[in-house]
Amino acid sequence: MAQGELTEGELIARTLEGDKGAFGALVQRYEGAIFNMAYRMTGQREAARDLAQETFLRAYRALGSFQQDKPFAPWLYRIAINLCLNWQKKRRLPQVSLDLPLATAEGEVALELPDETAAPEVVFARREFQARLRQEIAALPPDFRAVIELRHFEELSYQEMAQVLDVPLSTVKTRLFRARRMLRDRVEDMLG
Amino acid sequence: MRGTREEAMTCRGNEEVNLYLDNALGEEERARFEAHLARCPACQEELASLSRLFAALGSLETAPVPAGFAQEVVKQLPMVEAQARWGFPLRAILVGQAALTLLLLILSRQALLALYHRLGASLPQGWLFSLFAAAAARAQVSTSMARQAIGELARIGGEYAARWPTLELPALIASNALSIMAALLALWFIVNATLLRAPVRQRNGLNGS
Repeated sequence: MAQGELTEGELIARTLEGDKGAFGALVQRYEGAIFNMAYRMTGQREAARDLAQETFLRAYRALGSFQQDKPFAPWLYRIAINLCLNWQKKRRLPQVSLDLPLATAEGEVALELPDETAAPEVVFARREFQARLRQEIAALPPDFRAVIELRHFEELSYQEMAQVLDVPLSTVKTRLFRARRMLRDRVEDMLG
Repeated sequence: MRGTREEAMTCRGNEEVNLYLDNALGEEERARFEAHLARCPACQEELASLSRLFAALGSLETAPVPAGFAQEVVKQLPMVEAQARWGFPLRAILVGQAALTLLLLILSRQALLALYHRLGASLPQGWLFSLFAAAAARAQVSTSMARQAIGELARIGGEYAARWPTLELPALIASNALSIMAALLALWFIVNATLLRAPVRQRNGLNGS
């Protein structure tokens, strides 16, 4: 498809001219990042899909106000992370229990890509590890989860994180420091 | 060795290890920290443990995006445009349309019944017929629109709403205005039929039985 070869800037310009297909191509470029961000932030696949969808619809609505000389990704992440944080506030579910229902745990596990080359017990151990890590991330306080997400998965710089979260640089550093320490303490037994 | 132990105590949970791992230290600070690291077991342990955490986070696999995700988003764009243009959701208009249609249908029916029973004989047939026809046509159109609107509402994220282009919104609003006018007309006839009942009967020579 021709739109796959266009630059991000060109896709944005075309979208603003009314080409919805161009926006579709833009969605395809970022759907993995945004969906996974929402999934890690919420720990729930259904909620992640809804939040990711809402992120793109809001981005479409606000695209006219996007400054095209700036990078698109942090702008989009800002929308997504704020939606995730607001979702958390509305739901009032700051903690995710480690004793999640079996069906949910199986659903989570089923999402992991199977590794055909590894022995079954290794695959099982890795799935357990992944599921547990996901739960522990989702169980962090929202502000801590956000900095872990932006730094480790979106690989933003401190400065970019401060802009996305709209907090001072010093707050970003402190939150990241505390978030890592909290997460490390909770998963230390798995780290070996 | 005592110096090292003291440092180990003060360095527990050293924030600088984080900055070091994030490459957020200046060249000079970095060199100074590395020199410190070489002789501080607490910072070495902190570095090793955080590195393990980083590796664990890095190993977290990405989940596959639900199938047809981008198409689903694109399908909803006309709705977003309509909302942005009119400032309120299209669905609310459709619900309003359905409710108004129901009201119009009831009022028209009442008006027609009242006219037939009370004034029918005294009004010019051609004029009355055209009025009935207009009201019935309007009711018919409204009914079909209402059915469509209700059908749309029943289908969450259905295709119908997405296919409603923004240009049809003014048409929808205009048709609502027509509905209101027709309903008012019907009301006016109900009132007239009640008020004119006695004089008309008198004029036509009808008795009360």
